[in-house]
Amino acid sequence: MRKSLLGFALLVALLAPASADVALPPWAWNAYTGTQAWTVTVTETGCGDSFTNQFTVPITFAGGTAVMGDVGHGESKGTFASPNILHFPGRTVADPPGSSQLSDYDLFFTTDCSAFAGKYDWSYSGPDGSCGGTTTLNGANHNGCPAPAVAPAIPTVAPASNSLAADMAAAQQDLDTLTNLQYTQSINDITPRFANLFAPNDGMSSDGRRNRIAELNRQTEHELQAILLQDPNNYDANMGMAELKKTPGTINDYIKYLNAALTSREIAENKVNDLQGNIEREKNFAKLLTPSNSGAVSEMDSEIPPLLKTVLGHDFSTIYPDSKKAVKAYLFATLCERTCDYLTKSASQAASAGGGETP
Amino acid sequence: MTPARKPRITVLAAAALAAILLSLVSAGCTGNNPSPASPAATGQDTAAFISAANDCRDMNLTVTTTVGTFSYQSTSDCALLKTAVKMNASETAEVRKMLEGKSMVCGYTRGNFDPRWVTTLIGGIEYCHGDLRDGLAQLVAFT
Repeated sequence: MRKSLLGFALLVALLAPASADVALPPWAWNAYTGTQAWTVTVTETGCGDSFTNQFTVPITFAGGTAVMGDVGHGESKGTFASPNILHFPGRTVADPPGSSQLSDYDLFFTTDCSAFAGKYDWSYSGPDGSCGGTTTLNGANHNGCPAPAVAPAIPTVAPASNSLAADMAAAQQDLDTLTNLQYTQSINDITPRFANLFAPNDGMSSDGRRNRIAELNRQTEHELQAILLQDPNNYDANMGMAELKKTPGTINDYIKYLNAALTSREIAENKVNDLQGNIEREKNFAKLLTPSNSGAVSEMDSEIPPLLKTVLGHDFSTIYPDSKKAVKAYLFATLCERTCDYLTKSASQAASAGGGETP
Repeated sequence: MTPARKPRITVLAAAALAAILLSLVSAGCTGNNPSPASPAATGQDTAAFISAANDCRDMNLTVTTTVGTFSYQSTSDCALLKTAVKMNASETAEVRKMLEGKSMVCGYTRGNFDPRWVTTLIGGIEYCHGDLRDGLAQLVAFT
């Protein structure tokens, strides 16, 4: 009797946490097989014209691929790059009297199955001339997620969370990995002779590292764009996108995402307060640094005004010209390399992470 | 001149000679051409270094400013290594810890060396990589 009671107790103990943690996994279009009808609004801009059409379009899902019905240039087949991001390759289509080259693009589906969005570029060439433009696709579905035509995967004890916070944490982890790989590769690209001064040997060849960087770049951008599709004002996702675009070649996108994150002078100033607090805490500052008690800080203070006009080839001096503090958020974001998260984690997050450097 | 001072002068002279010899040996050990600058680099030394770096020639320079002592090494593959050797004694412990001994490497193409890497603390660091860049970027928060 005592043995059977003990066995029952053990069984309850083993099952209870599992049953408590079981939850439906987030919807994944790449695991669905079946056809769904979508109301798709197509907006085409270019060649001196702009117009919008609406179609009812079937999308036939077949596991890792899907075929989208005609939204103007015939059916097209895509491959899922992640559970809810469908990638379409570029293609050339007949566009009488000429033809159009369509760029590759991604369709981002929301996990509640209510919408998708995507955009591609195109260039037309024909006997009547050449021109280019963009087409945006916005899909809507009011029927919710379909009943799966295939048996859903058995939920695991610890299913992936479908919350934006969990998605952002995953994207941030990829961004951190990407940053570290880019750091190592950048130094190796300049000169291998100093590489050992900065980063430990990660055992990767330059080609292998470059491939991984390209892959992580795409993946992280997909992850962040999927978050922004659901929450366009997400601060961390906009700052993450800015970090991905922090090169002279994509400076306009970089500024666009920084502006989307630092939407007001007050927000920018508060982020600089968090930045200072995070550095003070993690570096165990005994006193507040100011230009009056540090020669280096004083020297930097005098260097900033001319620097603001040229940093990364952009004039930052016109952003919040009446707030020296607010513009420091932009300057730090631009100058930081591996410690940019001082600007993204809030002071409370930093405090709860605890620790700090030992003095 | 008293007899008591004579040995002291001799000792000083010997020490000076030893220092000169040591600096010559040290210069020879770096193996760079032209010879590296002395710790008390002049404006001419800095200009010569910037010119050499712009041509992607191997050269060393050490400069002491009101902020601290910085060393620079330019290489034939168009790279600059900048190191914050020592911050001034009056500098706060926080800044010394964040910068001293930290380096960054900056890449460029021949003829496009950014002289601000040598003449300023933060000019052009967005094109460099290393702990020194991170430390300097963090200090921007306190300006």
